[in-house]
Amino acid sequence: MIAQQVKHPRIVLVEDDEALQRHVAVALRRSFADLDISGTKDAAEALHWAEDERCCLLITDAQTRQLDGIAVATNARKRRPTLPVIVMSNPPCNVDDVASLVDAAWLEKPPRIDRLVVLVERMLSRPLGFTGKLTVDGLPDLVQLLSMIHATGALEVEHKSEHGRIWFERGAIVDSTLGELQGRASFHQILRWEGGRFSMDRQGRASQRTIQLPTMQLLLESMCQLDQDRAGAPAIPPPAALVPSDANRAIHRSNSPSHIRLKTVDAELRPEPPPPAGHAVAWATPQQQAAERFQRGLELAQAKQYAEAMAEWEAACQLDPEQRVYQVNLKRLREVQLRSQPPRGTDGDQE
Amino acid sequence: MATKSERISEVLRGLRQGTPEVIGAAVVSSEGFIVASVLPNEVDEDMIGGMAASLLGVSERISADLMRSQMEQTYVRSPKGYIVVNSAGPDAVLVLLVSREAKLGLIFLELKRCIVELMKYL
Repeated sequence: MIAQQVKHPRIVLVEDDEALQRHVAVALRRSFADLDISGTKDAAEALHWAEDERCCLLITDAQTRQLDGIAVATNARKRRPTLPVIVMSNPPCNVDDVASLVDAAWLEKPPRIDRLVVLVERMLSRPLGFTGKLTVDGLPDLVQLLSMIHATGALEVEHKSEHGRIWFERGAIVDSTLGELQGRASFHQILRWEGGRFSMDRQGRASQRTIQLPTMQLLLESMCQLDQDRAGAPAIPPPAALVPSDANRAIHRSNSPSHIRLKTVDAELRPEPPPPAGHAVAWATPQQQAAERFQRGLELAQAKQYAEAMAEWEAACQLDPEQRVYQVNLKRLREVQLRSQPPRGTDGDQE
Repeated sequence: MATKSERISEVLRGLRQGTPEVIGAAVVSSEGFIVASVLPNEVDEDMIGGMAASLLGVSERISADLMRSQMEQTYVRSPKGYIVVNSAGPDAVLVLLVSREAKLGLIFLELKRCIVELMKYL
């Protein structure tokens, strides 16, 4: 438990309703006797306590007349990005405010104490993760690693006086900037660097999506470009010059499964028909593949082909186990399928 | 390329962002499968799908039997807010969870706009 790693760990409770503050504090003290519970209605004091290492959890009111709890939590997170936060709010809560706080939990006010205790237990037992130093041979290795672990955040890379950024969203690269360059052009340029420093900002979020290609395809494009640089060939034209824009057709599998055909720069820039569905997802991230299979499952379920739909959704659940909607639909499909089957013992009984 | 479901999610996200009184939204197929949803964590998606399908079944039956017409909209009012179920094409419904403070007229207006957007993908 995080709370056991520091001496006298403390839960900071920010609430301007004194009666409620007292009620919650008493309940928490009863359930977490080893923790200090410090209540305050002053934003500055709350921030001071929350930034202290002793603070293992911040419970805050979202917005009151006297203080902006979301702002307190956001500021505390700037100092301590992994600080667990629970936001209490009267409905309607502006969900986007809470969503802007990564990994924060939301609880309706007045909180049900049993739910609060369970939530606090869950938040405190979260692993912190590891920090340290890592040296990699090349950025592609790092990009691949971040993609594999479904990382979200901004990878900041420095090379001499240049400063590039690559944004990840659940392992997929969604945006990249380098000076005035943006999108794929920027990504390819950053991957050309042969040395530098990097850091990963887990709180970083892209303001827009400029890259639609799957990570593996982007990496292959970059590798291809690097090879051509070394061979003295012209560089990849800007993305607009690549005709198959939606897609991920620059590199695709040919009819022979063992042969991967690369078509990037000067070869075949004319439009081509989309590859079959199975091939289109071959280079996609697991999340994208899962989304495709979920969609196919929906269409099959609509056509009442339940067995096929189930296979698709089971695959989607395996590819992206975090998407609860896949699991919910799979469960529902099982129920629907059970209902649609005739009851046992009535086979052949027409009367 | 984004799937239909992802595009529908985008529309729902836009609705929720533009109308803070909308706590959550989901597009549910007539059999209760969730096509896309933007719901707060505490709302059980499983329940939304099942309940929307049940409510849709009853509403369609009432509408057909009593009015000899198709169901367009059903809403449930509770002390904490409203649940609005609106048909979205022949095979789906849009379910909205709305806070009690909402002005229903404005919600219905937004809902109408949203349905037009959704129909492009349904």
